[in-house]
Amino acid sequence: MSSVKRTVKKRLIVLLAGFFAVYFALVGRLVFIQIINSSEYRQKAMEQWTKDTVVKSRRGIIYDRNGKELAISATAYEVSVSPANVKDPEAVAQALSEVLGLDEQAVLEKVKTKKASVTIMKNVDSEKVKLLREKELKGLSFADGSKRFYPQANFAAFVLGFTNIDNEGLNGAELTYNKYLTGYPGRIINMYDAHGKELPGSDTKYYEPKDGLNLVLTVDEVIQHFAEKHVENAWVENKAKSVTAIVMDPNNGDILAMASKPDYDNNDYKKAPEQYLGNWDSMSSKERQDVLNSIWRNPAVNDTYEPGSTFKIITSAVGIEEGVVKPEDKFYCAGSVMIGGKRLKCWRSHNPHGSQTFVEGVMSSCNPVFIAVGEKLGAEKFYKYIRAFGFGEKTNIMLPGEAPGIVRGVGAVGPVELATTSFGQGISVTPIQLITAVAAIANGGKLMEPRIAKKLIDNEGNTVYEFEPRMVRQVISKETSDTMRSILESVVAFGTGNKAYIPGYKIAGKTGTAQKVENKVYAAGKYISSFLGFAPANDPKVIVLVVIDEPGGAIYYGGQIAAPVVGNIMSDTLRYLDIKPQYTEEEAKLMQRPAVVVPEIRNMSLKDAIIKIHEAGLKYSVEGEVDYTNSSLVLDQIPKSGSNVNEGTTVILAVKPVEQ
Amino acid sequence: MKLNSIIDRKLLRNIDIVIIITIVLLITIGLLAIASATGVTHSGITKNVKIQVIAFVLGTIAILIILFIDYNNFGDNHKLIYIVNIILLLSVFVFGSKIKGAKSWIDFGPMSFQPSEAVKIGFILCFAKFLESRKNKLDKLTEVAPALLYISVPIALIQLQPDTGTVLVYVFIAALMMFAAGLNYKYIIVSIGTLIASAPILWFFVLKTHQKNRFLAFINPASDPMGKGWQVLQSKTAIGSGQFWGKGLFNGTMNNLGFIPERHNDFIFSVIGEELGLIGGVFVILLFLLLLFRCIHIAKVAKDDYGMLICVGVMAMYLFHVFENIGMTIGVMPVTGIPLPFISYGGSSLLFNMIAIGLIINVGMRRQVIRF
Repeated sequence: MSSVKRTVKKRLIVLLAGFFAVYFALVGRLVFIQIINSSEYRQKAMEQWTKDTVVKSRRGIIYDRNGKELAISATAYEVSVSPANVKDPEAVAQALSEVLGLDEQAVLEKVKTKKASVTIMKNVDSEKVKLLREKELKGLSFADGSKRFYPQANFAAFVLGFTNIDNEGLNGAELTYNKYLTGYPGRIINMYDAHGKELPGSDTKYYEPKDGLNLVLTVDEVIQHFAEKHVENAWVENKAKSVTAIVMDPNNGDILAMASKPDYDNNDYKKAPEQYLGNWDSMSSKERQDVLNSIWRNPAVNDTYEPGSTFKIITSAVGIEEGVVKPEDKFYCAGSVMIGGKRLKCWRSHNPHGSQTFVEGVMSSCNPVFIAVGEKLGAEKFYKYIRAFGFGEKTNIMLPGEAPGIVRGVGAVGPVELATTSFGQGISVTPIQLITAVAAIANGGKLMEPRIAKKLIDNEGNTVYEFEPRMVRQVISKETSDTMRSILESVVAFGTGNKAYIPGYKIAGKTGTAQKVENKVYAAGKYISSFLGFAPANDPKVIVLVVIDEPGGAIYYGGQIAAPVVGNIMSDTLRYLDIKPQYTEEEAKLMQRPAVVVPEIRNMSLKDAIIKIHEAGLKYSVEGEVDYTNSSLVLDQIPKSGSNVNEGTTVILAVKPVEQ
Repeated sequence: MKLNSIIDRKLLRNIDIVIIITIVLLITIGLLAIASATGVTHSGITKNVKIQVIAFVLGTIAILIILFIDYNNFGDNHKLIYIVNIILLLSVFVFGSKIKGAKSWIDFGPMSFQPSEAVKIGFILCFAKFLESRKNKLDKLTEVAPALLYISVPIALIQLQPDTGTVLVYVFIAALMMFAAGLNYKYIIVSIGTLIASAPILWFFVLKTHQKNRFLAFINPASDPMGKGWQVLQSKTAIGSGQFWGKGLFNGTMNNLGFIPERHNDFIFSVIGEELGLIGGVFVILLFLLLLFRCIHIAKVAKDDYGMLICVGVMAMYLFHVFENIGMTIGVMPVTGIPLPFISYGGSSLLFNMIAIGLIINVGMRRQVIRF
């Protein structure tokens, strides 16, 4: 009996040990779930009973420098459905498809999905929302949102950019200043039970959205208008591929205007561009996207080109700064120079410039003069300055996709490369780089970082953050800058830049005409004409660069087609900025001459054309390095017929060259 | 019937107070949890709570009645009890109503009653007697085989309902009782070996699809995120989110918002875990552990082997229920419809669990007869 009792006791103890093990396992598992992994489960639990609704913040307004609205956010709504609360799905689907113009069957499917909430359509305007509200349907909700709107279509398109359907900036300042403009979205957190019903009066939490900050650009709406207008005219008149203008305050790097044509409508940036309208429907979606991507490119910042003669400003400034050349130094142009076994021609090789001073060389844009300056500088010194002027690296303008341009390494610069660079070939720059570099030459030698935004302000107009002008470095001395200003003034007053001349204003500038490089060779008949000018020459307030890409007319010289555009923009801008003209006596006399209308002389023989021009009280000049006779046909004229000009103005003629 | 010693004060002194305190605490926690699970904060005291209170009162009366009856009276009538058990189990097939695919309930209008709950007690009472007579002879096949035959009849009937979860409870109870009765270790080893060997046969020929799915969902809850796996995930989420201190009684979000399935009966422990945290969960487990300690203790001091085996049987029943139920809410056991004793909502379940406690106290009261 006692042994039996012992067996039982032993077995009971075994059972006891078993119980311990079992309970230990349960407690261990509980600790694992409730302590070690608890945050994960807490998170899961939260997700189940709460629903987050994002309350969009209002995107900040973009103003021009004087407070004019350039981009605003109009109220729009997001229409959504909570299927659990819908009583009559068919009626709801019908109403939605009717008002919003959607497919009824597709909407019905959405209305019947088993989700807490389904978005039906975004960016619905308040009119349609009002119609839907009046139908008093259960289960519909209208979340406040906003839609970006640009009051002036096709205006400063490349500076402003655009936003997508979710109000995120995709291009221009909308993209680069997106984080300030968006603000912080708010949230509504509601509690729902297991059946997807909102708990009445439950702890609904509302976190208010924080509106985006408003951006004040350096762009002046009025100057932008001038630039847009003159760029558009030049684009049409010259049948150019594109025309770009940048207007800058040289003293602080403020971009006052930046315009290019063709451009796009920021309000409808996916619209087919006019020039592709004909075959838009037959294009694949990839082809369309490629076209749109190319049309969204900002030529002023994204594209590079060979600057040609405008780059001679840099060569001159470096030469003077380094003391290798003085304004009165004598040079001789024989029409061409032999460099490294290669003959480099002057643009006027058929009629060489002969003996001239350095200033005259700049005025006539004579290549051998600059080749000589470049030689005296040597590659090392010259390229050090080229880089100091910011070429070969981004200017850090706050616009997307800036190209750095291409500057050769000094090691790769032989005598030929040194020579061509000195007159602006074999180097590739962006328009913004060139204008920024020349602004430094104009302003006393300070290279300024180009700036498109002045400050961020809140809804009450208080300044939240100021983007200060930033000097990158002092490139040349104030003395060199002064000398360059007077040299460049004479280019406009007496030299190749005279078409930019405005009576009463001292304008300094330089022309440029470069053959386009395509696939690493110069493309025949394709040019980029440009003019870079600033005024007043003695105290620069405005600097303007106009680049005409592939002018389609017979006249393609920068001095002829780009200089007048700069002149026009400059003239409007200086008057708008209230910079008073100071006429010389001669100018005052000219001003009093009666206005005459330029006659139509295209397709006439040169002889007849000259007679007509003289009858109108005008002068003429034949453009280009061509041989012609009195019977040569006039192909083109500047100014165009019908323009009002002062008596005694010169009409430039392009004539058909004599076949040789 | 020996209705002697009804008011023997020595017997009353032997009543195990710890057990009584333990089950009163468990039932109280259960009532609070049921109140919380059925939404006491917004709809007041619910029908479920009232039924549970009625069951508690009935259970208390039942315990009092049982205490006056020497448990050996049950042993003397073991054959009668066995027959009543079989009749009760058969009755479901005649009067039973189908709930969740199994015919295991008999509906009495306002209350329904699960005969297998009552039969559990009867089964322990008669099987204990059956084993007592064969005690320490369980090393011969001639003695083991009749025992197996004895239990196979009620088990087969329950399997026919079908209610596999309850079958497992019976098998477990019988196994522990036979172990305590001195079943030779070689049979234990052989039966465990047979179980492992027959697993593939069970899987491919015996188990039904829904049972296999339950098991698969247990192995990988994500495989069945809408069904059983979902229940376990929700339960674990509720318990896990309760963390150390819990969200406070009546404040469980998962519970109040209806994210816990079957939260007032099978998954009541999820509510406790969410609202009372690790502290509450471990407290409940410790109460059960304490209860089982007392059962073992009474089994040891029981005056005869019949009393000892009753204690082991009841203890096995609780152990299985507790481990299976809590285990499934925290994902260590597959989901079966086994309630948590004293805590889950269910009138007949509470009543019979209390009757079982009555039996333990009864055995404990009547220990050490030869002390003086």
